[in-house]
Amino acid sequence: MNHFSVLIRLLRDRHKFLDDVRTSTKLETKIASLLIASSFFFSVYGAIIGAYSGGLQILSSAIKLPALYLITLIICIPTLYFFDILFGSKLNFKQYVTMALTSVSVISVLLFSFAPVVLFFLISIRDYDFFLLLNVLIMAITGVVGVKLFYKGMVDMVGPEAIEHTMRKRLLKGWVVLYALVGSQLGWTLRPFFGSEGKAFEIFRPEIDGNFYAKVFQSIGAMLGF
Amino acid sequence: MGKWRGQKLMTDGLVNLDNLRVSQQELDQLTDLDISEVTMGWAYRQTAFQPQRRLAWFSDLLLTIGVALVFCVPVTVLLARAISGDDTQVIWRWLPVGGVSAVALTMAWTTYRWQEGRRLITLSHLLDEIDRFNEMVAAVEILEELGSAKNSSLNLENRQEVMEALHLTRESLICGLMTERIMRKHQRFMARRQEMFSSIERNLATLQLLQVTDEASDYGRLLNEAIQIGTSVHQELSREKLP
Repeated sequence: MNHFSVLIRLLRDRHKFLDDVRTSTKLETKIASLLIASSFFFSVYGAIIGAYSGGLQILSSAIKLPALYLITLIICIPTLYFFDILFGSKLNFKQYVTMALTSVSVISVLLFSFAPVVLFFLISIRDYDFFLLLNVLIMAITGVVGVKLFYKGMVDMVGPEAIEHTMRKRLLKGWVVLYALVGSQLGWTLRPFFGSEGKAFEIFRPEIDGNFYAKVFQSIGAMLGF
Repeated sequence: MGKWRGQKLMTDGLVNLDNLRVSQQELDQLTDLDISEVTMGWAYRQTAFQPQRRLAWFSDLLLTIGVALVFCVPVTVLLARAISGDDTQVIWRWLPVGGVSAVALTMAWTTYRWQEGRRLITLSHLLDEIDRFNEMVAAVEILEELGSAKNSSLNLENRQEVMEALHLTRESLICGLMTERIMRKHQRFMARRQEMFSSIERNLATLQLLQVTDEASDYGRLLNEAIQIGTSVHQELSREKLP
């Protein structure tokens, strides 16, 4: 199976792809292909952001970034599955995994498409806070697009005739928030992704205290000179 | 229906041989599996390890190791971190465990796929035949193009027969794929009805014995056509190379 052609098929003809998911057509191979293709694109983007401090950080970020997105998915998917079937969904677990992976794959491709931009800023500006915020912005944009497509796909998949449709919609929105929260905290636990210039390579930051949002606000403050 | 299509194609001035080729979509539909150069669904094709396909197989293996590393290394390191209470030395010591488990997982997965491939050996052979058939169609196409070029002495003399032979081969291959798919789907049932099928097989064998002479001559004709086409293309290409 050509893993990347599965992803291209998803991007080119989403409706056909969703039809395949709805009818459970070859879901196993789709899952494997999306997993491999998204891991590859995340790894490339991870390697680029790791290039900020270079050396082992490139390898470390190339492994950590796909892990961040995919492990978050593994952590959150059972919540979605069990709550959704409780509110009338007839989809099976494989269909949920495929749908969640389509969203992650779209995010990975979008991140990959931003790679030249990030590379350009990496070469031209050596400011940690700017680079951090730029990446947070890119990840937020790609994340919103990916999750929006996932939400739309999931709503289309079951259709308005499903029992407790409104409740399901709320549940999906809640799950998306949960995914973002778990993802940002896992990202905080797995850091550093960029490393620090002039410092030795660290596989993890020794302190686990604090959180992702506090750091973002701190960086914005530092950039604005507060 | 196949005969009608064959006749229509033969009457057309310029034959669109794309219709003859067994496309990727057709293969996916007929087998109900995702077919690639080295895989049939999860399973590896028998030819996956051949030198000309080794690169595709190796890149597939590398991607699999990559995904295994993405899962195994961070999870191992996170666990080591939680157990040791942020001790960097312990985390570094546990790092190879993540790497080794990723390699072990990949090896187990590859072995499983190889064994699945052995189970689908008939399909694998059919797919190889289809690859050969598509190559033959490509050769005829080149021959047609060369024939239509000016100052070329090359022409497909018995074009109608060649087209007919290609159509027949195509239909046999597609029929083979459909049969294989049905057999695969009902494998358990087939295993239970072993005696019934063995009796059918005996009858078929008797019938086949009656047809064997005809088939042999048909196959010989096809083989001759293929050799003729291949040689003609080779001759024409060698002539083109000359100054």
